[in-house]
Formats: sequence, structure tokens, C-alpha cells
Amino acid sequence: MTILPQLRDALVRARPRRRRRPLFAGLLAAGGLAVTGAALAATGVIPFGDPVEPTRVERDPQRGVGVPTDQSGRLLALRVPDPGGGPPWGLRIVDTTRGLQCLQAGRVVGEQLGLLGQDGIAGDDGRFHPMPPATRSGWVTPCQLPDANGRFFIAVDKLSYASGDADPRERACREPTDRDPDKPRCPRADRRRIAFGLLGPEASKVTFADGSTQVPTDGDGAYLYVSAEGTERTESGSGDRPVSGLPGSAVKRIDYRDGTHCTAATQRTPSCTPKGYVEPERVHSSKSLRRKLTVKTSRDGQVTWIKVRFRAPVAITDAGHEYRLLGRVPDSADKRCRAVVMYVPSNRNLQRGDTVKLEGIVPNDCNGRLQVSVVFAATTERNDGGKLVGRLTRSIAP
Amino acid sequence: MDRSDEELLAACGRDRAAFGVFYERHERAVLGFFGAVTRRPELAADLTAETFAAALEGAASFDASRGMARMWLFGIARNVLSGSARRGRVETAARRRIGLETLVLAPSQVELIESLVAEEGDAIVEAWLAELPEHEAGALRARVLDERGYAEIARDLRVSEAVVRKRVSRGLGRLRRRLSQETP
Repeated sequence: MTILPQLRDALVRARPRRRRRPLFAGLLAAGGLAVTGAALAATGVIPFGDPVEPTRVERDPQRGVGVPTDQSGRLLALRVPDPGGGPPWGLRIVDTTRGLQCLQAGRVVGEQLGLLGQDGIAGDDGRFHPMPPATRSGWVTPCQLPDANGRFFIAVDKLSYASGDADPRERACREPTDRDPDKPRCPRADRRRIAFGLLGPEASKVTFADGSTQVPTDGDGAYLYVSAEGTERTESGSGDRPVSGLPGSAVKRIDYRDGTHCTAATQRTPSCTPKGYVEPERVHSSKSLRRKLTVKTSRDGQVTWIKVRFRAPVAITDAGHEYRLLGRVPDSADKRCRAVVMYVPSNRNLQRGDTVKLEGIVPNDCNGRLQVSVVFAATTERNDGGKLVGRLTRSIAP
Repeated sequence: MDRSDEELLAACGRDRAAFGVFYERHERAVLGFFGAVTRRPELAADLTAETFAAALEGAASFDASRGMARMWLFGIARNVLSGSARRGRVETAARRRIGLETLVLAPSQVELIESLVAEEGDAIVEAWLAELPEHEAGALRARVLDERGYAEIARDLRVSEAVVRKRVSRGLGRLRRRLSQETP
């Protein structure tokens, strides 16, 4: 007997990514210049290689984070030296077709952001590879929605390497969190703790873990920290809500122009909300969004699949709004089933009148009267937010 | 005839049901292992989901010449456990990459996992064995899990009894060192 049939079924339905040789490694395998950025700097010459693009990028402008709105992005003036020498680090802001702003950190040569051919990048060819402003796909991305005033706030803190910031899966060597046994380990000496983000126009100074300080850029309030210290912690984080700093972050304090300051979060104390941040508006529509829901349920092992279709009452044109399929069993004997047991957001743009299909799963042990609802909500709203599109009930038999 | 684990892993690129069979074959051992280590059914289920998601991702690169699929799977399980212990939370990277939803456990499933813990104690040893060289793991498995005598093992492996004793001793030494370093 299978104990977790829902897990087995989900695994069978999943589409594993095809394992392929990292694109970076295949670009310039014949370079033969396996030297570090520091050594390159010593020669005074940085040979250029072909541009590199991560393999896992969003291609659909209407889905997920979307794609860049232009092909250059905005390279900020901020430059931070690498502890090992070589070209400085820089930061680029990329606006996307779904209204998000994404950050990219890398090494800068001239006015180009890119990666050095080391630490498993581009066959360790020692060249500089410009990086186009692609947006990475996936759940954890250094991208953020604007606040109510159209400003962006984000905080990222992660383990990276001297090559510049890349997805661990793109490297031909193994980062501590990568379990691919076919890869050699990435050089420990090239590990870097990097922290970067946008604090808004009110921030005047950032203090980092090593006691150093930085004046954020005007307007965006961008900061960037690169250190060879603190790399024993592999955990990385991206502020999926606007925060001034993450627990354990390299950012320790933020000073604001009005004389106030914020001490970054610890494991016990939450982070301050960045000064100037205004919560995006919730959905407040006076007109009814009610639509008829068509629901199909099917039993599959110990779970019940819920498939809901409806006509979109309003269009979705960016990542700031979504339809959500929620399920709860309010009269279940198990109190866990009375809360939300099914939560499925739409993740793409829609025209008004488009047929929306959302599919969720409910364990059969949550038997009783399943209450299914579809709401239209701002993405930043909590689970219980949003405006009702439709609701109905179905019996889940034991 | 039932397909071997290795055949199932090799097939799951084109036949996704094959991974379902592989999952069913090893679910209890992996769940039991995590249940015994964590004593929390929900946590055990979470770790199990991440382990199988990582296994599904890596199935195409599984190399049968390097060892048995079960050992390989428990190697992944051990890495998921130690990685999660280091981070202070269950890893989710593999599940995110293949788009697996968060697992919702029914009360009956929680009870089943609890009951497994008592039954699958050997799975813990198997998981740690996955870290050892194959010759040491084989000797330890025969001696500790199968409770066979040194002379019998020596006959099967076609080595002297002294060699078997040495392999068991070295294997136990490695296990002790690892357990003292990494048990959460």
C-alpha cells in the first residue's frame, strides 16, 4: 500500500527538466585560460568571450515574471571591488513585461555586466562574458512588484562565487547546495557572500556585517555588498515581500535621511518595513465580479482533483493581480482541513472573457463539504483577501 | 517480470509511470528513515517528497555501475537531511524545480508514518551505509542487518574471515564518525 499516493501521483505527473550541459560551459571550451579574475587584472587585459545567457529564463512575456522590456537593462553606477581583485561588481535593474523589477549582480567591464570564465562558468576560460538582461524563471527570483507609488523594494542575500552571480545549476562545478555527483566542487577560495537590494529614495546609509558602510544610489536606494567572509552559510534568501533586510543578512543597519534607522532582522525580530514603502492597494471593485464556475471533481487514490473553469471577469495585465482557487472543508472533523487546504494562483496574463482553468488537489481525509471559491486578488494580498468571483460546494466522501 | 530499480530509473525519462513504481518500492523505507530520525510525520513526509523529487531529477544521470539504486536513493536522502539540518528548514529546491505542490497530509497518513517508524529501523542503517565504500557496506549489511556470521559472509564474498572483520570494523568506525558529526 502506498502511504502518500498524492506524492507518487505528483511525481509521475511532474516534468523533470532535462539534464543538459550548462550552456556557460559549452560556449568557449577552447579558451584554455584557466586563470582567476585577480590574475586577469594583473595582466591589465580582460579578454572578452561570447555573451552568456542562463538556460533557465522566462521566455513567455505574459507568464511568471515576464521578459525584459528592453535588451540592455539599466546598469547602476555602483561599483564594489571583489576581495580577490579583478573587475568590480555591479548591479543592473531590469524591468519586465509583467511589471516587475529584477536585479542582476555580476562583474563589470567597461559598461557591461557579465560573468568571468571561472568557477564553472564558460569552461573556466578566463574571459569576460557579457550577460544579457534575461529574467530567470522559477519561484525564487530577485524580482519584485512595485509598491503603491510605483517604487521597488527588495533584499537579496546569497552565497555566490567570484565569477559573478549565476544560477548554481548553470555552473559546471558544484556549489555546496548542488548535489550533482558528476560535477567537481567549486573552488572554496572563490566563494562570496553577496547582498544587494533596493531600499528606496529615503535610505542614506547602509552598514554591513563587516562594519563597512555604503551610500545607496540616489532614487533607487540600491546597495551591493561582496565579501569572502560569511560564506559558510549557504542559505540564500530573496525578499518576496519588501523588507529592509533578511534574518542573518549581511545588511545590519539602514539609516534614513530623516535621522531614523532600521536594524535588520534577526531570527527573533522581524525586519522593519522600508521607509517610503506603501502597501499596494487591495482589490476594491464596486461592480460584481461574480461568474458561473464549472467544476469537475475526480477521485484519484487518496486525493480528489478539483478542476475549475470560468470566464475571467476582468483582465490581468501584470504580475500584480491573480485569480486564486481556494478550497477548505469548514465542517471537517480535522481542524487542519478547516483552513485553506487548496491554494492555486493563476500565473499569467488574461483577457477579460478568457476561459480560466485552475486545478487543485484535496486529500480525501478532509472529507465533508468542500467549499471551493475563486477570488480575484492583488498578488500581495493574503490568502483570505480578494474579491469573490464564484463559490460552490462539493461533497468529499470518505 | 518485475523490472529492477535500475531499469525503472533508466526508463522513467520516457515512461513516467516507471518512477511511480520506483517510488512505491522505496517509499516506506525512505519515510521510515526520516520518521525515525525526526520523530515528526509531517517533517518526514516533507523530506521524503524532496528526496524523491531530487531522485526524479537525477534519474537520467543514475549510473548503475556505481552502485545500487537503493543506495543511491539513500545517498540523496542523507544529503537532503543534512542539508535541511544545516539550513534549519526542509530543502525545497528540487520540488520547486519540477513544480511539485506542497504536500497536504491527511490524519490517517500521519498515523501510518508513525507506525512505520517502528518497522523501518533498518532503513536508517541503510541510509548511512550508502555513504560507505561498497565493499564495507556489503560486509556491514550482511553482518548487522542480516545478522550473518563472519565465516558465512567470508564464504559468500570469497575473502578471508579476517578481511570481513576488518571491513565491518572500518565501516562501523566511519559510521560512528559521521553520526557524531551530522545527526541533527
